[in-house]
Amino acid sequence: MSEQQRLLAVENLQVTFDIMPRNAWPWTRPQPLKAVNNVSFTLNEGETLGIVGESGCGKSTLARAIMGMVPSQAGKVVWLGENLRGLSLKQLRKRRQRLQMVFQDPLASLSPRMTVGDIIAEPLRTHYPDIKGAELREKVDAIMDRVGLHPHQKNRYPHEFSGGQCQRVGIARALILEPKLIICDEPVSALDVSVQAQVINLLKNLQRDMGLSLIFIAHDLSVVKHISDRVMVLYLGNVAENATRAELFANPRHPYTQALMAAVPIPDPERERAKPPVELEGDLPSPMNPPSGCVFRTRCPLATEYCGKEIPVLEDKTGAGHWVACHYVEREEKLN
Amino acid sequence: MAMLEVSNLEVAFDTPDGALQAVRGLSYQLEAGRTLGIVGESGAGKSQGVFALMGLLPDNARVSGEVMFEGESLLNLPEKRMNQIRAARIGMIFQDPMTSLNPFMKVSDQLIEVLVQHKGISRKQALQESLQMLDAVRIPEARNRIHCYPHEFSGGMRQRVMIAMSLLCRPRLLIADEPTTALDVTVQAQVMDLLRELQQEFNTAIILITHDLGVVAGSCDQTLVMYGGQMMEFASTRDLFREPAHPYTKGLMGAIPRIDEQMEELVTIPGNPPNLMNLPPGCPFCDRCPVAEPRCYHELDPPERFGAEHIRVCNLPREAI
Amino acid sequence: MFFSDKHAGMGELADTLAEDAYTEGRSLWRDARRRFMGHRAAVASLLVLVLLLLFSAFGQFLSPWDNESIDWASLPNLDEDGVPSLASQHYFGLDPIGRDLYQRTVQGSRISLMVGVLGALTAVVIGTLYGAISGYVGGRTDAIMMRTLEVLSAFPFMFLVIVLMAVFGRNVLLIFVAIGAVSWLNMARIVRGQTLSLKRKEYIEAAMSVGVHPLLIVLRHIVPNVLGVVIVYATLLVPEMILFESFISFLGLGVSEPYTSWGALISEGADAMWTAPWTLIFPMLMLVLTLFCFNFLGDGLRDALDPKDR
Repeated sequence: MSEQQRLLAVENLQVTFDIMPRNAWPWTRPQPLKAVNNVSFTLNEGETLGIVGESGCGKSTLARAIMGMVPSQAGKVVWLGENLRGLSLKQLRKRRQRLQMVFQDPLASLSPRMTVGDIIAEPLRTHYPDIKGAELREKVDAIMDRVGLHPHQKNRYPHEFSGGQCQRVGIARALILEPKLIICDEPVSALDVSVQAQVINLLKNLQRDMGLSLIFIAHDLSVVKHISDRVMVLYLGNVAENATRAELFANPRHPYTQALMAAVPIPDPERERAKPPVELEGDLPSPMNPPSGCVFRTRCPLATEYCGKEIPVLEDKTGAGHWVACHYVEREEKLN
Repeated sequence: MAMLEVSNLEVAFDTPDGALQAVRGLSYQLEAGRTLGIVGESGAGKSQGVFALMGLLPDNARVSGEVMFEGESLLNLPEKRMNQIRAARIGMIFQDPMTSLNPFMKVSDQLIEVLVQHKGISRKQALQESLQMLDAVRIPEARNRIHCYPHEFSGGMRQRVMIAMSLLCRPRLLIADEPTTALDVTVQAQVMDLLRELQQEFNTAIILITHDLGVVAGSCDQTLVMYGGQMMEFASTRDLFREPAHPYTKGLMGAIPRIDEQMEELVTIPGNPPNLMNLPPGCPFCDRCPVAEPRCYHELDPPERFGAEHIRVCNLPREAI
Repeated sequence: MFFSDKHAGMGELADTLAEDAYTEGRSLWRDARRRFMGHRAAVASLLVLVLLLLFSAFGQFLSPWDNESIDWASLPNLDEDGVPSLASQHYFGLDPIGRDLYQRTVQGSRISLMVGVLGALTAVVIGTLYGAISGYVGGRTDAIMMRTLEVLSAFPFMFLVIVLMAVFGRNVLLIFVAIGAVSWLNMARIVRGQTLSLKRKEYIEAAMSVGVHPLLIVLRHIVPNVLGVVIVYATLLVPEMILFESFISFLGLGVSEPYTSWGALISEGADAMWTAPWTLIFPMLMLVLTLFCFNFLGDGLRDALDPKDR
């Protein structure tokens, strides 16, 4: 293993929700919905993993399953050498000191009737009830300063802040326990463009200065490109591709990744209009009833009959840490 | 004469905490068959400025200025006449399709109702035309799906249904308020492609309200950048991206993470979007502007025109930016 | 850069200005109070209710009579000597057996208001906690707690009270118990519904992800946010409880002599309304006034606390 410490290893994680079909009787068997299906990845200390996918791909569920906030049905979540799955809620709460989360909607993630200072102090109060008074105030002030908020605003309430400031409060709350990993669930998608850049830069700087690891979830490939070391692409609960940032953006191999990249609008009229139209047709299939074989085949421009029969395995075909789950890539190589 | 001429549009809202100036002195023109992009952040007044011409603002709004649409003044029009214009000559699509689709009515009935009411054709004919329109927006198996309820469609398909509905009467102008914001990128690309094709087919002018400069780059002929209720810059899209002449436009472009280029650090615009309740008397952007001068806090020069139809509102000379 | 200097300078200035004094925040409660103050009918009602409360607490000192003794001098000719008059200092007149109605009304107000407020308070405390826990924990616990609630609310408490009264005799305590038992049921249901929708809010998730103990999540994050609804419902519950008590008393099963309540007074007054109408009018006025005020107050609070306004 590398000199860096392995922080988190997720192995074949599976999350299933039981959905009651419409018009069901109380004794009807619920239908399983596979929100996350056999997802595996590893994360080292100080690294940023970007997770991209469209709505319904299971990226938020994956984040919550890692945190233990959503029960998972199979697989492992190995955090610092210890499997978090199967721990009691009490034990989990203790581990969460080092494992924090930042949420999508900045205002909704702050309790509306608590002052910003109380919100930021809550994790400390929870895990270190001995810290009180001046010491607590000092710590809160320091962290507020660190994320670019004026400490004298701490008696204010969330609704008095703008979206970007609220997100800074959310980040301060996640930072105050000095965690090793912060899972950011679409932290900038609800923000204005100019504020988005501020928050992205803040996260990058914090990571550099504090040696944090980040899991950065987004639906926007260009944001992920900017902040990640590795990028994992999810489709309908399955990993489509997982590679280093440079490799993924220079050489996307899964047809879904390629389509996703082609679909991102480029803020440059000449380049944007020279782009070929998107090949991807149709909509996401229902996760209640996913396609057989490769889940992407219903929208894939390369799909053949074979794709419907066999589920593609996530494989590192080049041996350089570029994992792809596609029959086509394999066949292409066999042909060569 | 241009198809749509907006001059000196002002929109203010009376709120319990005082008057809120949402749009100040907004003027622009739109030719038939062209696309105008209105870009801005939250609080820029981009939606209010357009809703005002449609008479769609809440009761506490005060609107002044002049709006000429095909030679007819739209402001202060009687409600009945406005309804006719809204239905037949100006179409609208919203960010959330469910705001204009009735969840308790089949899609077919909603489409037919529009046609029967405004074109006075029979239900049978109307159904035929509706089917053609659903085909035009590329809804697969339109013949079967037309009898579904709105919630039975996916987000992207629902947006297509709404586009179909807004185009039924072949409007001359289509107003699209953040039509793809709630959609995934791949679906967004499909919907934008579709809008472009439909525009050519029906020769409709489009006002596209968005916060996404990428979307603007792909489909707008002209772009209007708004901030704090005011126009900051107006130009043909190509000119705007090639040589942005306003510090805000420049800042926005630096702040977008791009997929086509490797950037080390994003250029940020410091501060937060403006509070419309207490804007400075001068330039609304002065608080966040990297080149602001003391006088920017008090006064703002009139729009400066240069090049081919390029307009900017800034106190500083172009070279200083 | 010129501009960053400018901003840094301003930041410093702000810091020195606010070195000790942290800026005071504008909480949602304060916003609500401001909105409430704008609601004239509600503020007036609140004022009237405060006066009523003072009346029931200190009203007895304004009259030389007391609520038990009979005015023997006026008793022989009640229809004429028993009328309300300032001269005889029977402000509200005499009741059918010659006791001072003013003092009896003061005393009855005390019982009625107490029943109302206590009932609402039980509802707030038990109902809120029961509903919040049931909604927050969810799953099987929720199912069991809710079924229990349904069984309880299907139970004919009115009937039980009547039976208990018949067995144990009339007793104020019993009334409190009976009212407390019914009052919180609906409250629990309302709070549970609110909690279910709050549970999906991100700030609850955030508290969970931080590792806050579930009981603290309920107390710190859920309860303060359902409190708005709870307060509105509680103010509307007070008149309901007062009416409930009045109804029991009207049936003759309420508080026992010499104590009385509005319901009991109205019941007595109704019997004598042809000969001594004031025995009905005064207690009824008090009851109606209170009910009106509580309803206006609830209305004003709803406007002030309604999240739709935010």
